[in-house]
Amino acid sequence: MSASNDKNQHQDTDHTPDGERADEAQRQHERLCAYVFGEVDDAERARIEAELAASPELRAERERLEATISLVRDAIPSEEALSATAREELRGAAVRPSEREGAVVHPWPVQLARHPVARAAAVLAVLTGAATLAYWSEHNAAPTAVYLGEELAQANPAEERMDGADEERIQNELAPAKQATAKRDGERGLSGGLDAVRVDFARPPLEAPEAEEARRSLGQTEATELFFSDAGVDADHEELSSVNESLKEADALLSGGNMPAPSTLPESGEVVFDYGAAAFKQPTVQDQIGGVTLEALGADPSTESLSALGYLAGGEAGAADTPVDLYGWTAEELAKKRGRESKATRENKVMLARTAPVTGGGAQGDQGGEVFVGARLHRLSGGPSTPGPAGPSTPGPPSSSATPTRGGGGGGGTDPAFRAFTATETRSEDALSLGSSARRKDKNTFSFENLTAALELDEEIDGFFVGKVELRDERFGRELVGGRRAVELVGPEERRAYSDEIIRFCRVQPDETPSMMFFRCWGDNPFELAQLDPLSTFSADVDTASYTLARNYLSRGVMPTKEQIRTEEFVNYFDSGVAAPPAAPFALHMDMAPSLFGKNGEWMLRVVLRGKEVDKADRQNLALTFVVDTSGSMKQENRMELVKHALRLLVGEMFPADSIAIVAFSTEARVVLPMTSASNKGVIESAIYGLTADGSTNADAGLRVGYEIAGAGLTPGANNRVVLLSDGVANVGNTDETSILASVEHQRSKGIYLNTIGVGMGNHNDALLEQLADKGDGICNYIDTPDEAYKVLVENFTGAFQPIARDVKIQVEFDPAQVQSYRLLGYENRTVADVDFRNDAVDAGEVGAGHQVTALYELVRMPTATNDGPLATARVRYKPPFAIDRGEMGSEAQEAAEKAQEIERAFAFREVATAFQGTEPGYQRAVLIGQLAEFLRRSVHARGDSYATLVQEALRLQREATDEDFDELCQLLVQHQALITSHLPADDEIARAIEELTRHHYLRGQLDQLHREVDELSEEVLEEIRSENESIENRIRELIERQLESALQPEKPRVR
Amino acid sequence: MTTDPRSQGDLLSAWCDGDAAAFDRLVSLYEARLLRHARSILGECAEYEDVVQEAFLRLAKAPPTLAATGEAEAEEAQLTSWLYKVTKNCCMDALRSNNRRKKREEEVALTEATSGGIARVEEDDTRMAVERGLQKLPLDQREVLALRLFGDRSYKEIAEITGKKIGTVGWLISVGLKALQGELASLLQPRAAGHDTTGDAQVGTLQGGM
Repeated sequence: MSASNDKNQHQDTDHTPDGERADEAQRQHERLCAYVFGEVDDAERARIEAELAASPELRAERERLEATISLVRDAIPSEEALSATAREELRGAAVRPSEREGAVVHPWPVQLARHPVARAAAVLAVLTGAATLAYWSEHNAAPTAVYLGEELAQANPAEERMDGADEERIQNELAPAKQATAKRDGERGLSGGLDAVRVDFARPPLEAPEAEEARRSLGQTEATELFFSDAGVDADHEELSSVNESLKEADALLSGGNMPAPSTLPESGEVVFDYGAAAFKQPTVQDQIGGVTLEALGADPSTESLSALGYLAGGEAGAADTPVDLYGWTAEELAKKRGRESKATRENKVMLARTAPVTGGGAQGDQGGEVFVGARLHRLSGGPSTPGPAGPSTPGPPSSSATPTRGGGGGGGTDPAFRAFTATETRSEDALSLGSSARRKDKNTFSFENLTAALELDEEIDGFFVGKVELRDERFGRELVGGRRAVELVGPEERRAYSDEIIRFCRVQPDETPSMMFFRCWGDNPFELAQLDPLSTFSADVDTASYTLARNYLSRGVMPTKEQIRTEEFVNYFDSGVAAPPAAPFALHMDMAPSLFGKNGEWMLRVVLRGKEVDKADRQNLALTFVVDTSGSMKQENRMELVKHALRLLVGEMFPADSIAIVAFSTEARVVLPMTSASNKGVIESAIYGLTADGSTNADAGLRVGYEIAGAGLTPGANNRVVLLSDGVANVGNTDETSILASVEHQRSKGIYLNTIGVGMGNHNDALLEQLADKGDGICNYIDTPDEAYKVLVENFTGAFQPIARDVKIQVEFDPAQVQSYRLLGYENRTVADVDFRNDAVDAGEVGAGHQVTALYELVRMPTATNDGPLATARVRYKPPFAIDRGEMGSEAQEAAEKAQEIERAFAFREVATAFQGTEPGYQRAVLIGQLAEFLRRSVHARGDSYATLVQEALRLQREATDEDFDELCQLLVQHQALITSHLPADDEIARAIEELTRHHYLRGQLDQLHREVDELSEEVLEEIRSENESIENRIRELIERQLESALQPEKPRVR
Repeated sequence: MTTDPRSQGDLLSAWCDGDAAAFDRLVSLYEARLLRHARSILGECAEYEDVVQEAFLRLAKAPPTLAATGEAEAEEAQLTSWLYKVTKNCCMDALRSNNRRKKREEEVALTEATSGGIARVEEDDTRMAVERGLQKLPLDQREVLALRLFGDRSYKEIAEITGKKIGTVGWLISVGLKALQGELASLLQPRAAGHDTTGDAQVGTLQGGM
């Protein structure tokens, strides 16, 4: 690939040719490597050979590559064997597995034909691999061992049972996995668990069918069908669309209450919807496909170069040079495109990038939250493609010079050179939000997670490549309804199947604990029975990014998604009113009053952990390495300027004894400013001034170089910290989130903290930045305005940069004699297994100077409670900051810094306040804010709660106790009342019935578990529940039948 | 050693039934490969032999469960990838347990500081230079390259062993080789010069553009 060729490839003004060339050269080199290693298919080989023949530079490059390879290969001796002594030792030490005492366990599942004996933990690893460890919920430890024991006994009755020691060991090994599964962030959490398991056991390969089976049984994979629909709405469709609305709401309920499936607005009388590939073969569908032309799909290039979107990573070798454009449209926009296909205008386009954002300009109207995605793949380089002229007159995609060849015609269409597909996405709510604020000037973005998967399945219709979009949701259980929107309203069988599926969803799935089920259905922490699990353990979270981000969304008239709301971060943003301790690192405070929103006499317990304040003058010296994202997307919304502003603010807070380094990264990382004393303001300012945005986002490289610089300049006696400023998504280089996280975790052990500061909206990969800071023992902030930057970075400077404790874990123990059940608000992804509270190897959150960690527990008291002794006891376990912070380098000092301390406070019932209004303002604030978060999360616990009460109480409190932040919140509450309440879960008959049924099954599961534990459940109760469930099931069937029936007759009045 | 006709899956089963010779045979089959792998990850100075010993110990104590496919090759592939993974994990443990990694990085940084150190390397120090070059690479690049260059694993197998995407593997290999190439430039020059001198001049410009 010659440089001149490259130049012609990209006319996108947003990218300088340099960045593109670097990208291109890298890709070229990857292809060459693959070629040299024989990793390419015939077609690719032929292409590369043609390129080689044409280019002497490339030939030279290959020679060098081959020379390097053989040099390296020859240099390392291969004829090696273990020394005789090592061999002998090995013989002596290698005890045959069958001779080991205790757990001899046969692999499970038993259908694995070859089973060398594996330890129970290997079994565990198999299960972990399939993410089915979920089975062992975060519930208390006992049932786990019992279950495992039973399972093993079943698998091979002849085998001896595990003894106590082994049980204990398995418990310990399970702990991280349990912790992981308790996290709602499926994969991310899981990887944490895997890491721990991996210490001892490699993960045996998991057979595909098993994995599939495991996923299915948990309902973890969700298939959303891809379908085409004419989006034109008219009066005739009103009836059907109303049914769809209703079904959508039922779907939404089932899928966790926050994501109604997109409604299809079909031609009357036609096939309305289907589930699966069959839909593509419907003639009506084909007709509709015909209406979409490639030109319409192509649209025009947007702000980011497609090659920068990261669609290149992760494909099969050889396909890496095949980029893809993805565009999303609202239904209305698509309709317009169909009408005037060639008139795809910039205003109508919605742009879609890698895992996250669709940028929507001017989405108008609010018809139905349907998003269409069109994609086409084409080569940027390679092949005999002649570089096209691509002059300014053809504003095609940046890669338009590579003339796409259509895959139609002969040859079975296997040539991936050009593909297009259209898909709907289930996150319609986002689209609704977008659509509802048509007057917005800014572009908006919403999320398409893992859409890459769509490219793997394809089917050719009329020259289009289409396929199922497989959306893997992090939460369980959206398999059933995710992709379903309407039904082919014909035979009674289909209808029955539909009802059956809904009802099946409501049931406890195989191998599912009640807590798991609750999470699957509602995505919130359930009420835990204190009798079964008196301990609630979580890692401290002092972040506040979730509140800031949500505030930003709301102020733009967009409802944040459920995932973006972390209740604890809302609560932590506000002043708790608990005084900081004068000397000790922490003050622990608890108070309780009747729950303001409880319907059955619940109580609300608040636990506040407050860190000591450190005066700015007394803080430690700092050695900060800023890792600044300078990718192309940082140009949007003045993000780069905001970052520079933030940097200047920070530099302004630094003393001459502090030092600072800056690393910028886009496609590659470079050191902009080596470690420099903060007194060199001029040098620092010129480095900041020179930062410009361009290229793609290689966060991995940025962090790596950042850590190198920080490691080289590691200053004893100072706080060594890497600060990542980014808007989000890593899209080139190593984009594996888990491996980035793992390397951060590794760096932490050297004594380097990691803070993350998020900027911008949409691209902003909130979850990744939060996880990074979490793993790096640092803090995650989000700044959207210069004011917020000031608040976060200047006012809270010592909080952000002066740690007072690491690995802070909190455990609250409830007295089962006094507390029947409890639920923790928030901390869904901060759960720590109970047994790990005192396991100091388990990582937890960092707390900075003056920070507060607040936990709210809603609890139900035992009716018979005598109020003796503490109702709840809170314990906090933490480690001091890194030894190197105090200038201590020796291993003794390091060990001392790893020693954890514990503080404890008990709370007795006589300390409660009898009325909510009589409590401290800090308590009231926490409860009200927690409730707002619950509303925004569409939490099942907040269903039916009154938003009006929230507003009323907030305004009352605002009058009684002034607080700047709270004033702002009140304004937010009032101003966005309509937006928020309109997104609260719907309350129609089907939805209610479905929820009731789910609740019953959940309850039943809980009772079953209790039964196993205490053996006191009567058969009558179970029978009663069974019959009641049956009647609800019948009612749901009837209701659905009725809905569908009326949908068939458009002249009838609306159902609702 | 006489060749044992049994497949590796059979050997593993035999070991589980108490056949010590079978285990011995497995060790012989894998020791060279794993030693090389551990060595390229840990470097010459390290106790890579201990690491491999530990990996075999884990094989002895907690052998993997192979999915029965009925094909000896498929079972062998599973065992191979299992052993590579375990070896890597043992390497990681070794790196974690002592602060050797840090020290080594300091050493590397030192040689870098006195740049030109590599240029002075003599012919018979090639091995040292290559090992040092490898050690300078980030761990993930090093691992992937070791698997490809010494383990002769395919991209797909490497992806499976390391848990990375194939695209990422390709990228790591490319970036790692480029870095190595730069690192070993002084050793490569005489060879490359013999083949294509004009190419070299071009290279400079290409790399400069990056």
